[in-house]
Amino acid sequence: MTRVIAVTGGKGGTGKTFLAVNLAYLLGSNAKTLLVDADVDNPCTRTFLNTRPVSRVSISEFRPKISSRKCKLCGLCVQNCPEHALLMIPGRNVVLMPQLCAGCGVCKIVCPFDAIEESRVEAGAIEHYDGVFDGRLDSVIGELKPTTRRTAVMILKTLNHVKKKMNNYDYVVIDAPAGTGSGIYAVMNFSEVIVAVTEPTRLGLMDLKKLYKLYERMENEKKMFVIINKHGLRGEIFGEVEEFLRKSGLEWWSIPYDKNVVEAYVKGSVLVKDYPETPSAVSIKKISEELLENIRGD
Amino acid sequence: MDLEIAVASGKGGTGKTFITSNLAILFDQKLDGAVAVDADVEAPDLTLALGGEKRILWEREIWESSKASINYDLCDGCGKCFEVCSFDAIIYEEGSKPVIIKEFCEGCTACMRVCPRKAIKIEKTRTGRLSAVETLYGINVVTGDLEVGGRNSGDIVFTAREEAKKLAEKTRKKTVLIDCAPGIGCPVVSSLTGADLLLLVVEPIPQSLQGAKRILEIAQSFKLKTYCILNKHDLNEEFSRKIPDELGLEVIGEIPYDERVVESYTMMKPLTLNAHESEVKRRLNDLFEKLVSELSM
Repeated sequence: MTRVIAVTGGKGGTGKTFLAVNLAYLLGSNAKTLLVDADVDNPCTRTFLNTRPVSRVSISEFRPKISSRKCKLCGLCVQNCPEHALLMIPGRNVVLMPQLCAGCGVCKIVCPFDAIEESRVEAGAIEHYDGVFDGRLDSVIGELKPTTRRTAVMILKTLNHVKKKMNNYDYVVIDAPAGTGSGIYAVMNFSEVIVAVTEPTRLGLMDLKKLYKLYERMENEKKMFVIINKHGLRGEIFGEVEEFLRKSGLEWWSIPYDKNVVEAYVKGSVLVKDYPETPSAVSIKKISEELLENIRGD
Repeated sequence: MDLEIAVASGKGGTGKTFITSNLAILFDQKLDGAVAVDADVEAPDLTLALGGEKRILWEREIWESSKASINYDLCDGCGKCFEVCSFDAIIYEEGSKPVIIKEFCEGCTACMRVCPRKAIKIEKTRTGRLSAVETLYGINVVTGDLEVGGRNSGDIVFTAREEAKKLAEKTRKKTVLIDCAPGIGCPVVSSLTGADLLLLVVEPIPQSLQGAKRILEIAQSFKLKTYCILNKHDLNEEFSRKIPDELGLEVIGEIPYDERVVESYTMMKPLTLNAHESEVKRRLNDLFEKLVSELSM
């Protein structure tokens, strides 16, 4: 059975992509693994893949095309647009402000004169990669096109692509975005194991707590683990984070703060592959083994 | 209120909150002061970075989101709602009745309008909470806090900005600083729309450069004036040097990496208020001075 592991964390920049890429790399050594980038606003796993996608599927969304011949300027589309993206120029025509349009299609539904035609614009794309990291992994990357802004919809589309092929894999590792909104909800809903990467700072803890609230609200049973990354930072509040994790009964690990990580990142190299002896790489290997041990029994 | 400045980055954890909080203090010490907006509505921490709340000025719930719901006594399972939903918010298989996933519903009303049995209603739901607080060192912050699993973050950002402008008028502050969410989605677009200036925070790693380029595409579609801030620039000098050309932007500030930044969050005291002189503190000051002279304030 395919195990789906989501890597998220609340705050941005805690090390989600770093962990997801390294975890997927380790899993891919022994099992069929798919690495998914669901951080569609800024899909960073791509910077680690030095190869071209085997396929790219364009995702489009609706935009109204108003026929000035059929339009009788009744104004129903303007009144009913939930995003206020349509503007009436009295006596002349109806104008679309494309940056406000969400592509819902309500204007077309309410038009009594059939004056609105459907046109489509690209909202993003989903890329499929085969055999990345020397054949260890396959990958799916979802990407939102800048200036369109339906992050959650693009995440759902990406997950739908994953759903179609996930049965071919033992593990699916999803690099999820930061935050606690509907996009994260979609990823968490899709996964059975949630790994929350946080950092021992006040901001990290605050956002982790909000993410935990979302986790508590999930309807299906999931398992959540926490990784405190960058442990050992000067002035950290490690004890406070530990205290919260103890109270909430979450299992956790920590990864030491390690400047090698930045160096590996800049080079686009995978830490456990290219810097296997560094303290953080050693710790990730241990975490990955224990995590597998933990979810295998379920 | 004269000027609205957005601080964004595309990637998370680059130092948006760090820059916003310290600029807010510097505006307060050296100019007419500023009101700050926490537009990272899914994970708001700006108040914390500014010392925590001393006093709540006001708070209120926002009920601007709409969600569809199905009356199953009326629904006959025709699936028309499923066909028109542009947001994948309805699950439907022939022979069963459709289910609305409320987390994904935009409340656009398309399903309600096409339902032949009038079985769908649109109801208002809680978007989140909006509050204005005075933080420990005197900076007023307007925060949008989105309900967990929520959407319509754009609405709450717009409302937060409107409230910040009113508060700035009332307290005679000339600047509003917006701490944006990571990413390029709804809350970020709503933070940049109509702003006067964008400070793009970039750290010298490819992931951050990619995020910055994506934000820049949005900024350019608005013709929004943009400056770049290189944060933690000394972590990789070589990469840092490439960034201005890659982005085609002028660098208005360069801040070195310093663990004192984390420490300042732990102490809940913006670094620029630290009595101890440091390179970071000096560079923050340079950034502020340069910003002021560029804008001839």
